[in-house]
Amino acid sequence: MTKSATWVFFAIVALQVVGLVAFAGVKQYAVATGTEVVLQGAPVDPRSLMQGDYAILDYEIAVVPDRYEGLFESGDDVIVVLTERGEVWEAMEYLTDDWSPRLRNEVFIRGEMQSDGRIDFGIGTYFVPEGTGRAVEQAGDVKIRVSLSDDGDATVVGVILDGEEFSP
Amino acid sequence: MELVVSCLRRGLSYWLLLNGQTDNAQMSEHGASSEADAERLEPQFVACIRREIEVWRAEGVISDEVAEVLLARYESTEAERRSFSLNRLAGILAVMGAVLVGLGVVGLVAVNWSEISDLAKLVMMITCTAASYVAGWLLAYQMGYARVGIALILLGAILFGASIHLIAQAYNVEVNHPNLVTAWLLGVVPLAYATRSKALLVLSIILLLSALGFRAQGWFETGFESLSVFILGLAVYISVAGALFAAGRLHARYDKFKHFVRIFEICGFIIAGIGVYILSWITLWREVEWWGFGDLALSTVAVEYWVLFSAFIIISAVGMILVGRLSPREVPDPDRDRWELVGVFGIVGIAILTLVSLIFTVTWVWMVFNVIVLLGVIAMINAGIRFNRGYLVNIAFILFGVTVLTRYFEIAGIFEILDQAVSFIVAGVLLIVMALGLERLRKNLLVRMRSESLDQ
Repeated sequence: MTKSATWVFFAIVALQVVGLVAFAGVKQYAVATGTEVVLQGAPVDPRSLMQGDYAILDYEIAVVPDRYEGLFESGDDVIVVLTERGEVWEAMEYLTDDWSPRLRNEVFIRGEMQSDGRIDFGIGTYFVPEGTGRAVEQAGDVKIRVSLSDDGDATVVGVILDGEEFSP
Repeated sequence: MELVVSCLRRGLSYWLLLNGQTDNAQMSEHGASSEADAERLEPQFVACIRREIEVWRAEGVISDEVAEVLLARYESTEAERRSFSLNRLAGILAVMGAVLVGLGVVGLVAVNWSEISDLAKLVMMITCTAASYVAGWLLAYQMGYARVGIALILLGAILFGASIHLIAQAYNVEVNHPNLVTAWLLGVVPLAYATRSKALLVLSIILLLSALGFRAQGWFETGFESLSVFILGLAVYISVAGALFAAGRLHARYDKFKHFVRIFEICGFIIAGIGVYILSWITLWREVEWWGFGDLALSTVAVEYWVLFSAFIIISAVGMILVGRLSPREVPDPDRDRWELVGVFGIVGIAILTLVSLIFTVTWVWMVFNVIVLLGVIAMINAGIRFNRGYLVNIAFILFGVTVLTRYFEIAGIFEILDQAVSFIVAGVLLIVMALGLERLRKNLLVRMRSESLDQ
């Protein structure tokens, strides 16, 4: 291998490593600096070939109330302003943009309207150690701890099953 | 004649190699070039060129002295033959080992042990990825173990993908997120070119096809259970096949990447073959006719779909036109140029026809696709024989066999037995008539060649 080819090879390897660290870093930063909220959910439990067992999480706030009918089309950004009521955070308002909640310093989550009328927040998956998915599947009450960045992007940080933190 | 020319060309390049035009340092310049070097020295090639030298001597083309010198150059000892076989076996075993270890690590990621923290798992995985690359580089380029070294770099590339998925798992990124495999692909492609490794190129093509599959989740409002959506997706894959074939032709013009050509071509033909085979199904188009295309309004298909479809078509077509102009062959070969253009534009045409047939719900198009399979098979066999490419003939025979078997059972299930029998007899008679025509053409050519030589 010539000197220049060696440089190219190690530059690619370095870029890959930096890319991996950056990917993890961005996610960790979002979790560390975000606002943590608890959302009401309802899971099912399949398996991914690459990443193992996981629970599909669904959220009560993913259903847009009837009064907003016609406001959102499939593919639209949806901003859901949240408010804390008891143990969980619930939807207060569904908006098409985030300028007013930002102005009012409110907590909000960003999602995308799907063709089935539900909102996808990008937090529909919770990975669990192999063989522990049944606990999630059988739980009567599932709450999800979610970290929200300033932009409303969400990351799942934990699951609460029947009032107890899930730690297999 | 093609075989002789092929032998001669390879012989000349090997001769240049032996005469110091390309020295040993350059030979081991890149790990994958050692794969190409091994190909140049393959025993079949040596046997072929030795046979030809004997023919030239017998025909008086070269003197006995020159023949002896040439034969001495292409002497292949038992030890060399064994060394070649062992080298190839070592390469195959090393790649298989790397794939197995890689899959094992992916499995470990999937287990998602709670005993080890996410951070520790991540540090371990990134360290192993980098270590695998460095060990591979040392073995391939510093210690002379090119085969094992490249296999370790391949392992590093697989671990890179596993690391991406581990991070996604740790932070609960949506399962089957469309960008994970795309990111993996973007990391592996430059590595394939930096190392010139065929194994990494194959991984890149697999990742490209997978990445498109994951991206396709967002292209349509309905899932792939809708046949119309399935056919739309298939059209993109066929356009990819065209782009791969064109890429193969482009690489053929550059010595550094000539060993990539066969992979690009085989992948292109296999993808196009599978695509046309699926599209030749009568039941597929009958279902489309039944359900209609109505539910799937084209306006709801994502812009990304059209951009990618057009991009692959443009890459295929423009790439083929440019390759002839920007990088003409050292020895002009208009016959080969024509065949290459027919190959690429044929595949591009199939991709566009697929889309058009679906949009206008032309359900009888299954007949057209069956004719395309037949013409494609004949063209591939012809090109395979003409340009001495056995793999083309193999792909053509497999495609023909599978399609004929499928049609036999499919037609039996849909039409009357009489229809089935008649359609097979008609197709068979057509092929025999075509063969008769070809044989007659060959005879005429021979007669003309003989009369021309007599005239001279």
